[in-house]
Amino acid sequence: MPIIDCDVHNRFKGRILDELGPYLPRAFRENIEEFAETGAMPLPSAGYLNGSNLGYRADSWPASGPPGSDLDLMRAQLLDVYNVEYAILLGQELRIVGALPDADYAAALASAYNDYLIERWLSQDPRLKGAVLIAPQDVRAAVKEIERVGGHPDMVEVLVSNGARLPYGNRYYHPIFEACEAFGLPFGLHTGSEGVGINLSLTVAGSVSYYVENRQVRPQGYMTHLTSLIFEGVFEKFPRLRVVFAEGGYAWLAPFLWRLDADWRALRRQTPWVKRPPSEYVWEHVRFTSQPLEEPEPPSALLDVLAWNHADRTLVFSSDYAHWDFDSPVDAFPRLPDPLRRRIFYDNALELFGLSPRRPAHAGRPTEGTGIVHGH
Amino acid sequence: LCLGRIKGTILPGAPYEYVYGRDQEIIRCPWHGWEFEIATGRTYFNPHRIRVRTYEVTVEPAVDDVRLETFDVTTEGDLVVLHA
Repeated sequence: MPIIDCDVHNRFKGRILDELGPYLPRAFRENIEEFAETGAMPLPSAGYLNGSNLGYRADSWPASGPPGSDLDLMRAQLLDVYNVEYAILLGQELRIVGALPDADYAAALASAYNDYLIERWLSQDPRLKGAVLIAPQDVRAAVKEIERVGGHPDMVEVLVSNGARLPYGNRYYHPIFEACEAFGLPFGLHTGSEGVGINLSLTVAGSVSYYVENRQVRPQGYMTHLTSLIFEGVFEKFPRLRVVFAEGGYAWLAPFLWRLDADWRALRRQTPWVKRPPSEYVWEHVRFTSQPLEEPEPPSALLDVLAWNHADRTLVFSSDYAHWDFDSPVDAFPRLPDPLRRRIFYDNALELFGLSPRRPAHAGRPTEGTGIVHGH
Repeated sequence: LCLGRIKGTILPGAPYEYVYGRDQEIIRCPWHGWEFEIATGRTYFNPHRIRVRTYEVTVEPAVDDVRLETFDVTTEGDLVVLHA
């Protein structure tokens, strides 16, 4: 069975400025070359360590360049071996643009990256699809960027980071959602950029000290963005909008929504435009990528979580290739009923991104030619 | 529930719009503030599935009958009879 991988990380092969330079306006390029103290493109960092092997699978290092920078190796280790029909590329180094203090520089970097992405990746393999990176510091510039490249047939998403200055439902961002809706692109968030540059703190209590903690507090941000999207009426205002949360956990969703639904019954009239129980907006409008998949104890409890969370609608598979905590399409999940497995690994993403099956025969014969062997 | 305040409510509408309506038609539960339509007992947030039991109520001429449990209510000279 073919699958769709909704979180794959393409990286630059050499110095970022060398590869991005041709796509940057000369003014910005020369400013970096002249004024950047390090001699490299100034990009802020939260300063945490990462996982083993500099954060990537030990076997994912190509002959030259970092993991994720070599398409042939990505083909061999991901696209070909797991029968990946589509892989959604969410980049890596430039997702930090939303944390930069200079809105114009941030927007220029995002535009340059998008052009680089189209030319150097998306045009190289029909299985690769991309996300329009935007810098939300200037909403008008972000909208212009969506209008500029959002209609490209290989662009299937709009992308920001979890780190932000305002919860993402805030009315400040609504022009972005209007553009997403107009272009039929889901609005995507990927973890990262929290507490970096101009963005607010990783948590309400500031930054945790260690990477292992950083990973576990990510859902705080996603909970904030999710409740904001619901209660600011974003899904009422933009009824065709879809939102996808990448790499920020999934098991927290149902308990969070139980509480939210209960409170909405009592507090509904404070936000009278929220006309349905919050959970219903999520089932219809919001999707989550699977990696890093939670591992309940006992493992069979995962099936309960999937049922509570309406995984047949809300969960889309992701591997996070080539990061060290890669989830194998074969081994990461316990045995699932075939229809549910197909929803998670294929149908949900196909619908989310408005993609067409590349091999039409598949649509009529879903169980034929399965290249996936159930793990465990 | 009978201790709840009788109010209207803020009607469902467009984002960031507040329209008050249904004045005196809604009773709010004194505990969690759930809103019930007085005429039907149905909740405002989920009228089809969540409601309180309702009883037929009529206003009848005053009689002196010890079998009736009575409450102080304002009527215009008659009794309110709850048919439970």
